[in-house]
Amino acid sequence: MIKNLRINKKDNVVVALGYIKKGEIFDMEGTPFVAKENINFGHKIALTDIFKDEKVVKYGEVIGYAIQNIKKGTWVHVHNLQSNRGRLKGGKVNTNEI
Amino acid sequence: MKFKGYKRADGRVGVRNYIAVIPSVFCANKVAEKIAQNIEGVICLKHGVGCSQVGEDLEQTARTLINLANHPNVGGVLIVGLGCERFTPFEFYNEVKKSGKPVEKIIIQEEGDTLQTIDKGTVLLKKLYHKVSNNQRKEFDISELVLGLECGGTDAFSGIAANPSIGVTSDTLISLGGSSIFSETTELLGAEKILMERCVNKKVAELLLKTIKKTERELAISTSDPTYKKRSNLISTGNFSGGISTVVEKALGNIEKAGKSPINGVLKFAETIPNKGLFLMDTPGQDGESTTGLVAGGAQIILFTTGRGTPTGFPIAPVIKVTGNPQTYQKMKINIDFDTSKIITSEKTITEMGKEIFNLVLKVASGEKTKAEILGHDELFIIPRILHY
Repeated sequence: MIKNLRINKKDNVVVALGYIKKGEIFDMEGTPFVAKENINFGHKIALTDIFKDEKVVKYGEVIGYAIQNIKKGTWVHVHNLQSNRGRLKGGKVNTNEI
Repeated sequence: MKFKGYKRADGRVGVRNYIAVIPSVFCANKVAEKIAQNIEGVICLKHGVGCSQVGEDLEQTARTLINLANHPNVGGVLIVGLGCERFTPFEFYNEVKKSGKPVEKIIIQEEGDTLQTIDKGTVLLKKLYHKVSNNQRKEFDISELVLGLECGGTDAFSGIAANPSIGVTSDTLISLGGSSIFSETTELLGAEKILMERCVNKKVAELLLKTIKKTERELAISTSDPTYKKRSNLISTGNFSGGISTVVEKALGNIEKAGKSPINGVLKFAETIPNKGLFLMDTPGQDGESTTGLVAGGAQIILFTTGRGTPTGFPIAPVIKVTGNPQTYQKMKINIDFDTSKIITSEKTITEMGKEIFNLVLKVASGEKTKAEILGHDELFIIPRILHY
């Protein structure tokens, strides 16, 4: 069973330590879980349901916010996760994430 | 713990004994290169700067060239000037002479033309060669070492295997009295809270935050220009493919390479490390520019982690390539010195890998060649500009 790594206990995503194919069973924090989509080696999987605008946490820190609802066990990447660091928001440098 | 290096007149110790031909302005590049080719083993540090620069921008060029010429891995220097450049070859020569290092200079506009300068320059270089090539390695304490910590071609395994491993290597060296410098301000966005808590005092913490905020402001303006919307990603397509989704995620993996030691100060680009311990240097995120700053700051060896795999090297400093990605290691064994992927398969711990890399650093410091050195890679020497006009 393909393992995943949770780096910090505060994290709501884990890192896939192998290629996971849709329909394949992988280890989700000790519990077998059926993959709903393909997940690439090194990519992130949601450990819980994460709702739009909620924090995505890896290394125990906020790495960005969900831009759509993310289901438990699905792939978390640029299509559903974004950070505003290094970008202007309303014409100003966004510093509320510091 | 000891290694075998070369003592220089300024007291520092080198891990290599290069003779370098350095143009003071890009216009002297070809002449400098041809002179260097005439004598075996001599390297030429060609660059693209030195003309039409002023203020802070010119100061940075001058500081980088002087500090590379005075670098302990360089035993002797031939400066090749054009004659009309603003950072004059005379100032360059005097700054190297002051350090006590064997140095010569030649100026194209004084000699007349390409061929005459090459002829006379080769004679001067041969003189230097006799002075420098007989230098012998002697034993020195490990505390003389400064490591430059760099990452390029980041993937998800850089932050969980390769970077934490070199973090242990850096902490080990610092615990034995040595030093490390980490850099790449653009790759610290989101990690400032963690880093500030590690600064030795409030003044350093405030300077660190100010440095990151300044870079973020400049980046935010560039990335938010609607004209260039298609090319405004803060991280590369390779980072995305490797599983990194945001600039903050990249930063949190990036800072793992700086271990857990306290941060003693924040250095300007290419500024000489003022004392022992861990320092942050304010550099661009570009691998070459960052590495150039680290070496000019005094790093004799670069520990360079790469997830996606990059073959690059630096002309005057050994670059040790470390990956956390087992597939990258298999594909690029010829280029990569150390594989930390046994951390992912739970066969080894981060501490074990860090100690093994430390042993490799000791061997490289005493003369063992890295893969980038064996293959002749030297593309990481790039002097950045601050202003363009």
